[in-house]
Amino acid sequence: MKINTALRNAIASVLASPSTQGVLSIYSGAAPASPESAATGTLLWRHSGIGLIAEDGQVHMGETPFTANAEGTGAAGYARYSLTGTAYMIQLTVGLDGADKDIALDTMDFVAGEPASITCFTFVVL
Amino acid sequence: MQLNMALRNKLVTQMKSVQNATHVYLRVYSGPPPADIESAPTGVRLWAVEITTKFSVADGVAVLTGLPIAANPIDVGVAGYARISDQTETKWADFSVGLTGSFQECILSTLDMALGVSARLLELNFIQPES
Repeated sequence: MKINTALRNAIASVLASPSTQGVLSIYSGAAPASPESAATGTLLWRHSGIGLIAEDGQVHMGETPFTANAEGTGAAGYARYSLTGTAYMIQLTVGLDGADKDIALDTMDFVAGEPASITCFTFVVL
Repeated sequence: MQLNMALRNKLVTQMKSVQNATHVYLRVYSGPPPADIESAPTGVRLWAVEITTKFSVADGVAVLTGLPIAANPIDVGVAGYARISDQTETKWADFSVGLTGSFQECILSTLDMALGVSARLLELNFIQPES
């Protein structure tokens, strides 16, 4: 199945509208096999109030690079984005710039209290 | 990227953004679908119906209710793909077509459309996979 950009944007508006925000969390270690499972690993970085934008058939973070201090120390393994006030959640891959992952980071090595940046956060639904 | 079930169900529910239109149509064409989904439909329009029922959503799949829908073909040929669209043809989706048991998204009673011989839409599934 293929859907055109207008419909894809309408579908993605569930996650990306001016009134929706979510919490982005980055954890160490391998991602759970299923996003239905509880998060594993050490919580390295978390920030709430992150809004997404749907355009051109893609969803992306409106404000990048986005920098905040790490909460834990370790190597980034995966991320989760949870839409505030809902049960909707996406489990995402992470990597350095150019690594063809859902989220690009300026570093994979997080140190508690030290800044780390999301440089790109883009994905396609459906 | 992996989506949890709650989000998968919500996303396929958004298919109603097509259904919120005054009129929604499913049209079956011959030949392969356009390589570029943004393109106008290609092939011969073989069969068309207005969709007046809703999708039911569970397990990341939206299933059109109220089936089967029968209509006579409007031209002769072999079904290649189906397109659902609103009446303004602003939003649309292309579906693979097949017969029962073929695991395609749009299941028809026949792929060989002949004038005067009714064809039926048996299933239409809109799927959001986990990843």
